[in-house]
Amino acid sequence: MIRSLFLATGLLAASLSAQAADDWRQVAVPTYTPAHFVQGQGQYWFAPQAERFARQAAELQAALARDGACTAEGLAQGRQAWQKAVEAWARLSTVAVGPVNERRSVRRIDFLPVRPARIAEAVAQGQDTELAGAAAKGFGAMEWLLWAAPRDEAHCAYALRVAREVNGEAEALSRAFAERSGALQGDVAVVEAMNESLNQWLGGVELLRMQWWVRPLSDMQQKGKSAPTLPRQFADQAGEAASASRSERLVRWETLMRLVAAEEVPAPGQGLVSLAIYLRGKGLNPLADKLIAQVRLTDQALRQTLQGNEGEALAARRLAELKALVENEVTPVLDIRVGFSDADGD
Amino acid sequence: MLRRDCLKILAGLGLAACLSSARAGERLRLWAAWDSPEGRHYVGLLDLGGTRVTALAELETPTRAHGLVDGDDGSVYVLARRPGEWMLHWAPRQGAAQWFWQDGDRRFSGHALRVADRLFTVESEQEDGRGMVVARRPDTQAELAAWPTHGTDPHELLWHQGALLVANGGVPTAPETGRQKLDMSRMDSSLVRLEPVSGKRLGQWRLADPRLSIRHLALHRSGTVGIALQAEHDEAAEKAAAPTFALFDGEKLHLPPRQSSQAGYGGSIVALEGGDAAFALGCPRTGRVVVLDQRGSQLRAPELAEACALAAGPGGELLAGGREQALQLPSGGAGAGLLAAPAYRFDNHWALASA
Repeated sequence: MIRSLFLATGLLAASLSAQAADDWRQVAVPTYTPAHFVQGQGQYWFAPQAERFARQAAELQAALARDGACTAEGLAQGRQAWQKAVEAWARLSTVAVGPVNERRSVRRIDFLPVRPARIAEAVAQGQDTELAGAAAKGFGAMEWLLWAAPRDEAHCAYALRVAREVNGEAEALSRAFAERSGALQGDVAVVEAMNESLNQWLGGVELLRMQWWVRPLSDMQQKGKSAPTLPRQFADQAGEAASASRSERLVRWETLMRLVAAEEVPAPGQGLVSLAIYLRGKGLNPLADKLIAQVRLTDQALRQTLQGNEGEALAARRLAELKALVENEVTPVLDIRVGFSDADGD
Repeated sequence: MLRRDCLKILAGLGLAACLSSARAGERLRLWAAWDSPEGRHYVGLLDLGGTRVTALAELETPTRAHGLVDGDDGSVYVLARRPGEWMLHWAPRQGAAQWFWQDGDRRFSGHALRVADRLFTVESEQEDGRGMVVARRPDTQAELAAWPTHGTDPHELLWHQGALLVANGGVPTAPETGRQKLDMSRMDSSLVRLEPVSGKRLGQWRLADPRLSIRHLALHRSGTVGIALQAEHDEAAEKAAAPTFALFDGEKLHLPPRQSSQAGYGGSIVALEGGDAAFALGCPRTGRVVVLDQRGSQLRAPELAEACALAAGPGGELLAGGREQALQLPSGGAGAGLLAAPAYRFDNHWALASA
């Protein structure tokens, strides 16, 4: 049932606009159903991101097949293609739903932290990637192979095999997400998908907070280091890709922010409905305003992290506050049972 | 608040002053974890000696803490809530906090056990969810050996008849989806006994109802193990009426009859001494602490909102933590006292501080 219909005259910026909260009292927002929410995400976010990831993974494989990682030119192209593929993967997998979980893709192609000894062992044994464990393949293994491993034939050949496997996984994900968009029909499937989406959004926030802020900071303090070591540590050490981790971190945050706080107001079934807009469609403007305000606070803190480690701690805290807000105040009004919830038993 | 202010102002040198004044009276002290009203997570040393709970020391943790193991030397081992990435060895008087982080293959499942020169942690493999008991050095937490628990979703363990007794909760989850329960038809909970040097399986027991998750264990001086259960039935009514307590005598695992309904959720368990009481069960969903005798018959069930964390005091009294309150119940059951604990939302477990 649509209470009223607002036709957006143009797309609002993906980043948060400075629109005053009070404006929403005068803006008519359609009532969206859970089907609009999950199908909008599937069609306008996950499927396109899966396609994009498949393109970047194909380019990564092609770059390594063309010149090999053992030539200077091939290495440079491989590194560049790796970074683009990692960012495309981060956009798709930060909120890991549907095929990403069913295929256990994170485990298959993005094992962290990187284990050089396991990769070196797989290279020495001339292993096929099918036989190598999760720690010896995926983006982490490629990172070590492209930035830190010896440049000999065995390592370069193994890098290409890993790239082929990543590409194969990307193609499978792209197909699966394309099929999934049409398959999300019926009340049960829709409600399950909505549950999964919000649960995995919370999981994405927690992963970002722990893996990309809290753990590196704790490690830095424990070991008396001057700066935190972020997950893409080998790429970060090289001058040409000094910001690999920070770029990915930002991509992950922007993905989370877009899914929860983008302010575009599509006609039902015609676009991506963010969580905030979904709440507004239900007439829950104060809660949507509170959510947007916390997202803004978090965004400010995260963008200030370039200025020093004190900012890093604040960013981690803001992420925790945002997660708590969605867990404790948003999911209950949507009747979502959250598996990551602090309210769940133990 | 005064104690907290003291801690903030005297951080460092002043910490010792806060502690020493509290120790002078030899008051009852507990290790605990809690959430602040702002939703931040803490672990700390609490004083329950007066009319209100006060923190003698506190430390913020990155995620919620779960199991606490007293180190017998003024320190505590703290385990992250499952699936947990960190373990903390904290000695507040020395100002020493040693963090141990998992490196990607496993996650902590929430509990640990100190036996002589070993710290046994309960963990889960990330690849396939298999439960593991890991023997570690207490000082460095370095891994010495790792053994399967022959089940999934392992939780608490205890020392029983010269062996390790481990609760396999059996609820299927995946690392990609955190604590979300998956395909409950595969649920398989069990109690397993492991030889403590080799990790060899010495026995394994299951309840007839596959939807009862065996999670928390307590050893009574008689040798009987009390077990807190959590029901995972699909039907709400079945779940609400499910038993929450089991007994294990070393040979047989069974459900005592005529159990009161506790919404299918036993959150923690402690063994008691003195009087008829043998066990207490924290039941946060009904807001009660259920006190049972050695056969599992209910003796009393005092109310306490969100009751879960339990400890047995040195005088045989029962100590229980709930939402912004703590309960002290003498061993005879009469004369219960409530302590105010404003701004504390206690987590599931407490441990008595011995030094």
